[in-house]
Amino acid sequence: MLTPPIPVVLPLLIAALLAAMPRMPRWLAFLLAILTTLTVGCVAIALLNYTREEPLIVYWFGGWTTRYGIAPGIGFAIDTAGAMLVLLGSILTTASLIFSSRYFDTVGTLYHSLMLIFFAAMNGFAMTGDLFNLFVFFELMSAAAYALCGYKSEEPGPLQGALNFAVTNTVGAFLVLTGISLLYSRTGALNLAQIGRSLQDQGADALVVTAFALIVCGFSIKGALVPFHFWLADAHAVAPAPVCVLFSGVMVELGLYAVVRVYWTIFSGPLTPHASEVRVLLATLGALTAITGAVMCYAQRHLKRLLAFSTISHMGILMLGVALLTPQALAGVEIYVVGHAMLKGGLFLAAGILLHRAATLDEIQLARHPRHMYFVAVLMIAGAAGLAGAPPFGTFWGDMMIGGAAHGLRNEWVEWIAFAASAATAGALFRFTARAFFGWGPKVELIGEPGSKISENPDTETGHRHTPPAMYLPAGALILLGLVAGLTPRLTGAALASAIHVQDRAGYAARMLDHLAPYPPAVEDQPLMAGDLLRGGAALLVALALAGFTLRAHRVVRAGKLRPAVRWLRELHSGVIPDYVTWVMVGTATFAAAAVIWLRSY
Amino acid sequence: MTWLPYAVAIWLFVIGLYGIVTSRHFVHLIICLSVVQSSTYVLLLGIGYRAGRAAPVFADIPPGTPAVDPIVQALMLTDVVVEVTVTALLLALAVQAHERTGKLDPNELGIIRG
Repeated sequence: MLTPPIPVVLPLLIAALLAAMPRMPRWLAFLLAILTTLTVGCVAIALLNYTREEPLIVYWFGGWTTRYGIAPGIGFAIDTAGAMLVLLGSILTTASLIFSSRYFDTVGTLYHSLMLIFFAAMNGFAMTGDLFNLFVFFELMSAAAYALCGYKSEEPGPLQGALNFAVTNTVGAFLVLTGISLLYSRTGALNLAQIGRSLQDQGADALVVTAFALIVCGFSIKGALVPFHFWLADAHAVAPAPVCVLFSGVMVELGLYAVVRVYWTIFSGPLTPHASEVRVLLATLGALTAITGAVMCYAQRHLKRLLAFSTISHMGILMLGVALLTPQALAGVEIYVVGHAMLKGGLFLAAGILLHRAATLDEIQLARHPRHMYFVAVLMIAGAAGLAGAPPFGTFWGDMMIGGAAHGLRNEWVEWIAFAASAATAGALFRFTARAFFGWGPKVELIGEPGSKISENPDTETGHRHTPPAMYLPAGALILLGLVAGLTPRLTGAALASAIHVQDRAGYAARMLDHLAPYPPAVEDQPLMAGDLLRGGAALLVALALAGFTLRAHRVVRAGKLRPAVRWLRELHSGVIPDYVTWVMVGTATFAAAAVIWLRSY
Repeated sequence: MTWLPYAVAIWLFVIGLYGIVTSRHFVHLIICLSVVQSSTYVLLLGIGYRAGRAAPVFADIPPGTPAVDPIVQALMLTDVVVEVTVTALLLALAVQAHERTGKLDPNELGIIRG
């Protein structure tokens, strides 16, 4: 079967072709790129379909298959989660390319080339079954992302954003690589299944625990978990809107995916006796991220930066789901990733349309001359409702399953944090929409309001009169897909089956190394409770109330007695690389120390 | 003497990060990043090294001769390639930042904050 390499190889070939032909007409370049992503999307659907019979599709490059449980070659191992991420990437990249075709005033084939390389690397990252291969795709994905972030290289903002992004993420890559080296020194293997198998019977000693800490922290930088998250808001604020769609929709989630994949193929074996401590460590990261992201999101007045902090907050919710370590919670995370990606993608495209028309994304400037762009306003409202976790958006089902798992473990606080974070981020978005599109609320006094300081020139010259259909159709389609994702039949059951396979370390190793394929278990849907519906509705109401509460004030945001705390938090986001790297060091050292103390078996 | 490469790797990692944290100049900062990177080279080669073994090139030695681990050397070469790309990109961004703002101090760019 030759299908598995296509999602990586095809975009890379077309990218090389496009880079070699800089004078290609603009429409042809976009057509080629979009056809490529559509083809990969079809391959992803085929793979996804195939994983229903064969839960792990294994493909060895050059025919170097396993012998006696040892993998000499590099292999792809695609399960439902991986294939789903490829499909998700295809949908978002297609939407983003269609949007880009009318968004930029000038764009060279280098842009298409970079987008396709980025796309190929994300696909490889989601499909590989080899630890070093994972690192290589991680770096390829990052390098393309840095270049895309600084694409408007004639302006200082994108340059600073790209530099912050690149330096922090490169440090993360080194942490990961050091962790990989430690694992190789212990096991002599790079295949995920083989490493996992050779570590499963030993307890976790200091070396394995250190490797675990380094790899988790390294990937957490990509996954934007507090205190590793600083780069994300800077990069999103300045990157072109269609690029943000991919950053927020897939790239950041892939950081978390790597943590999940590496934990359940390698570390869940040696760390089995310490599962509750792992839970505390990861949940701490998640809770910090969800809360910090929500507060910072609420305090923003620049739309793209606001959406960026909302992504951080939602990454925290996802990490909380992962940290529960049960199949039910992980299934919730999978659904949430899909729902969130569609909504956030649609919202970033809506932000792009707003910037295209109004030439600014600043809440206060927009409030002075509200734009009556009702289609975009409807998209924003629908997207905000989805982020709040209102039924029947995909995020609602994710919330429901994570909440159910938290209940089962008597960790109800997880549910409360997720509730507060999603309500606060949605509230901020409602507030922005009410001011910028409808001009609601009294005129804001700017004195003493630092605001997020971003000098941004629009990606186009000045405000445009019209929005071409190629821009609003993808935005609308993505929001609609976020809604449709929640209406898919057998959604929770399919996600649960996929999560069980992701967490089945022995099964993964048996399929990859011994070519054994036990029959996948049948899984029932999780029943919908009235309480879940109530909670989704309540989050929406709280978000609306929060927006209304702030709109009545003469300030950008209303923080009351918490104002000094919010200001302090904002000052931490200094936009300065040395500060960010300091936080990475502090975070990694703390996490590693806690891990070595708590998780070591002997 | 087996601990020496590991001590060097740790030292390079820490001193490189210290350089980044205290940097006042983008070029300095990017070179410090390369210093951190070289710690991973030393670590990888240190892991694969076996005292008294031959280089893993079987052109002029009979197959079966004990050799050092070639896999980590391949990993290190991949690592070098990856890093050159990132360094080149970072330096290009730094040059561009200097052209546009006239500044090279990462603490003074200050376009995005809060």
